[in-house]
Amino acid sequence: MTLRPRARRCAFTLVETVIVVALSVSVLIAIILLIYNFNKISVYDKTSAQSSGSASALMREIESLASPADAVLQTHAFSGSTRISSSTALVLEIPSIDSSGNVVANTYDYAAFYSTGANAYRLLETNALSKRSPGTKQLSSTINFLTFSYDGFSFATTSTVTVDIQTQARAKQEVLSDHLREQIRLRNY
Amino acid sequence: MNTQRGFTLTEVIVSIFIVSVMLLLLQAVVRSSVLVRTSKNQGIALAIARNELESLRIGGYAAIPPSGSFPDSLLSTLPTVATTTLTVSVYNSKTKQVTASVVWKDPGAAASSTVSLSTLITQTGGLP
Repeated sequence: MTLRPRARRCAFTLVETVIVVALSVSVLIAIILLIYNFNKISVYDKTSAQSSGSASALMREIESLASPADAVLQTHAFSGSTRISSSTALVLEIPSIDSSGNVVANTYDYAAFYSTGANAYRLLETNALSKRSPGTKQLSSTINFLTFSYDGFSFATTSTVTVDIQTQARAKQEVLSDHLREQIRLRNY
Repeated sequence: MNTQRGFTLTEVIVSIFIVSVMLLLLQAVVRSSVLVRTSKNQGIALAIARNELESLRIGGYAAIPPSGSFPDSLLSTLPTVATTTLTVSVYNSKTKQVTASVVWKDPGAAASSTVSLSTLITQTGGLP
């Protein structure tokens, strides 16, 4: 058996180098594509969950205050701002409840739902005897349309509110939208 | 002396391990996206069923329709061949039990999904 010179055995041939470079490039491309797709799918999922999640969170919050309400008010002066019921805003009068859930006679909490741009807010003003916690809460940041319709001729005769929520979020090129619509009867009307 | 060297067993095992971790990750991502879509459709179906029960409770005992399907404007936002069913049964002489079900099939899912809500409606003492 004849041994080749030592230096020749240690180097790569051109063919070997070409193969190694080609293999590395294809593995690199595969990994980059995989990471790109991971990223794309996770951004899409996150946006989709945000859009549909905030729509249902907003619906649950409106439900939780509109069901115990006794009237839709045309207008109410909250500290700092006056809110007016319309097709894009809802002002509610809700009998106050104490810590054991009983109605406190002749005391009321006031709630308003409205959207500014893509944000939807809940404004709650409570009586001192009420156990509800007051304040402004942002419920969504992906609102496209938030509309209210009323069954009465006036707000005083309104006993059912229909809430229509459309949210929209953008994941790179794709626009994701969600639509929820429910009617809510004022249980204390 | 043998100059032809292949991969060692360790190298092969390590590369198989890396590839399988990658594939597992990909599968997890795909599964989570199916989950997100299912939960979104579940939310829509819940809104449809809840809305139907609310309107039946508003209508009162006398206006309860016979069993069948019911319309809803959100139905078109579920994957196609989504169906609604309303089941009305007599609970006792003054009470009826109504069940609103929404059935749809997610694309790629093996079985269809159902959301079902049920309530009792009495002759007296309904919603104001």
